[in-house]
Amino acid sequence: MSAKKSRTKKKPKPKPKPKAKVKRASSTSSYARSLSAASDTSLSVKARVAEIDKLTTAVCDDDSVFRSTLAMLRDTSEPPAVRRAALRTLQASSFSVVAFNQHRSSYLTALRALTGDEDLEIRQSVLGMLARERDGHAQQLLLEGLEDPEVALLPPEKALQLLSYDVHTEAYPVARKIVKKPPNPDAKREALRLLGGDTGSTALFESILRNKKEDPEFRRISAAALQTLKPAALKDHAREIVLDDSDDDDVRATSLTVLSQFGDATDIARDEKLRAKTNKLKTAGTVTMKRSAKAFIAKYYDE
Amino acid sequence: MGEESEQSADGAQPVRMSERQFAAHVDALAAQADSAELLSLLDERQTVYAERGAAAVVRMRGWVLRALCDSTLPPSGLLYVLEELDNGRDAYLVASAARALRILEPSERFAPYLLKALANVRFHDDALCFDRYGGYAVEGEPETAFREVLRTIGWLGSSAHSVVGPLRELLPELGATDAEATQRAITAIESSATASTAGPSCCTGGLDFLRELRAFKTWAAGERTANTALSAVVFEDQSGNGIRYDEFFLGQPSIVVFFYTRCDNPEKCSLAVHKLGNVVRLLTERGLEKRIRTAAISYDPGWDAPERMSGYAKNRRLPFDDEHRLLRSVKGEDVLRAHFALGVNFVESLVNRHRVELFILDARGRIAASFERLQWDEAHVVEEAAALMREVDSELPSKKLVTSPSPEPPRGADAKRSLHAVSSLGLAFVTAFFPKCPVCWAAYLSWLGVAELDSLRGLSPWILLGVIALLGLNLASVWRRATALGGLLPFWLSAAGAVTILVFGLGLESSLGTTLGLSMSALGALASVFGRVRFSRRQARMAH
Repeated sequence: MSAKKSRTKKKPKPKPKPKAKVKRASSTSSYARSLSAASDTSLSVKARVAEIDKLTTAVCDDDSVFRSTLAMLRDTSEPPAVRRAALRTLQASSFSVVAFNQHRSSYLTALRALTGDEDLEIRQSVLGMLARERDGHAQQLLLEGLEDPEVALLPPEKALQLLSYDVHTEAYPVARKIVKKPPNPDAKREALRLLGGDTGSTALFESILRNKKEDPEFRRISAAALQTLKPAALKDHAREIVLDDSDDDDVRATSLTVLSQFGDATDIARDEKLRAKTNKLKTAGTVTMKRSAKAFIAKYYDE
Repeated sequence: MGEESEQSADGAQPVRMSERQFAAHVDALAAQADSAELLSLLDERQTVYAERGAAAVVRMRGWVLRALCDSTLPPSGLLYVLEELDNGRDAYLVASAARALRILEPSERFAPYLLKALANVRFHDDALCFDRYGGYAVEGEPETAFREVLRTIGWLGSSAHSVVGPLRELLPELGATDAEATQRAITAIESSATASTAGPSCCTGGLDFLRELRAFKTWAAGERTANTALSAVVFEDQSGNGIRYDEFFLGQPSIVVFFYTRCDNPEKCSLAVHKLGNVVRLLTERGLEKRIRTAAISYDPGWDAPERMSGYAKNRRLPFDDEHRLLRSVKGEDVLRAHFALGVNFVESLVNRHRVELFILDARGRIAASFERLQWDEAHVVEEAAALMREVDSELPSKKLVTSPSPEPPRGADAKRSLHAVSSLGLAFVTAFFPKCPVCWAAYLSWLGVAELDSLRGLSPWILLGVIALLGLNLASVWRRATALGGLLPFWLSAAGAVTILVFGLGLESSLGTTLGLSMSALGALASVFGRVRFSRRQARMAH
């Protein structure tokens, strides 16, 4: 065949048929396939988890898919990975607030029933979801666990973190106890963070901030809390910490940042003692300290 | 309420009642059908709610409402029930309130509140079990607040005629179970035997209904309580300025709401602050923004620092300036709470429960009206405050209370007052220069000219000086006549009257002083007249 003849005109592509109805029908059948596969105990756990992850939309649209997924979650004979996948799918579906609303009460009932589940990851996820809903039942369980470690469902630092989602819980007294006598450093950290909303704890935070023997991380958390609770006092403390060469470098760097961000420009510009100190600090100390000092000087002293 | 409390282990201090003990106490009251005591437990100020988290307070109140369902609901209890339906966002309390409503007789007045409750809980519902303390469903098929409210709507029957339309509009958006419940309610309404003849009531309660429920209260001037301790209350406003209670609230009527920025119920504080913004805009439309002040006072002064309050206000379109402020107390918080009998309780410094509350204060800072628990209407509030402003215009204060400069008179009122004063004075002058005897001239001046002195306050000081000069002229005239007639009593009476008016009436703004001075001046004028008559008769007798 000659080259010319070989250049035949290509047939135009046929117009695509409208896919909407076909797509819906295929979606429904694909959900049914996914649901069937997810429930098939003969398949590998990995394969089942992959099928469950596809059911997020179907959970909202189809009551039977929702019920089946919920049943998988509640069935303690199912492998933990399958149950966790079911929980993930339900949680993802719940973000479609309007579509999921019809399932909300059954979902919450199931979550409450799982607060005592054997699987820690499920227990933690469930209590986290309920805490974000400001569920009183979950808050009660978490508080009881903090008061009596024998009945605790979660480690104290996790329980405190979840309780901090709602300022209206009565968690402040137990948080203060934990700060005073922490079971571990993480618990103390979370207790301090929770107390960041307590106007009655300003003296505690001031004391921690000025205590050079305290962990720098706790002192930084205290500074953050004071910025919310008592900003004027924080600026005074920050200034004194910066001027104190015997204090921790990281805390001094944090204090410089506080003054940089929130300091009074007029007062700082007139503060010769602070100026002299920060000039020294820009060439001495840790990298973080030097950087903070340079930024501070550039902002207030135009050098 | 007598608190049953356990002694602590060392027997030193009684520990507070546990929730279990509280529930048992409520159950006992229900068994005794002690509705009055149960109802008293719905007052958020009860000490049993102090130092409890918000969720604990919900559990406790829900158990009380549940107990009332098995008892009777006194008329005063209706306000608590409607409060939950109107403003509540806790599904357990809303559902409990809907159940409690069913122990009363159906009324179409309930329908709008139930419709509002549906909207409030629709996307914040919960899984409920009413037989369980706290209402938490942990197994089985749960109840929901949405369906419980629908049950009550269905129970209303034809009294819920006004909500059929909104329910039909809702149907396509609902899941199967909720749609069935909604359809059942619609069917119950439409098939109800008694047809409602009353017009649709689209909105929650008018002022009369609020008054009936005691959600709206007013106090006449003589019934209002002054509280001198309030002078010790000091605020800081949204701009960081300090101001005392007396400085802000005395001298003109004020509208006050209470709020706090950490309130998580958008139907309460957030809405109240937004509506207060509408109130300020209404006042401005009517030219009253300088004559009626507004204030949003924080329940949470330790947290609600100025920048927090100003940000909160800006986000809710509440304008602020010298007359309209957000305030937090920096001194005298306890006095403030006691004076307003605030419906609030705390867990440490944080609010755990509060009611919707708005107060209208008169020019002396006294509570003249209040709206409690149910949503208030901005136009009603402005109207009530404007009525107090008219009270200020008409009364003469007994003592100088204003420590700040007098507020500017409203637009248009200046001209009206001037015209009134000038016309009264003009009448006095016209009367004086009518062809009458000098006696009448003196008497009329004493009465009419002096009586209008009060209306001259605020006008040009030259007019005031002119009137004082006329007073002097009157006195000179009375003196001349008195000396001619041989009796100085009329002069002394008129002089005493003039001094009393000037010193006590104009100077110290005493209404009693003005009245006394006028009376003495009038007596002096009359005595002068009769003295002349007696002199003439004596002359006639001597001639004969």
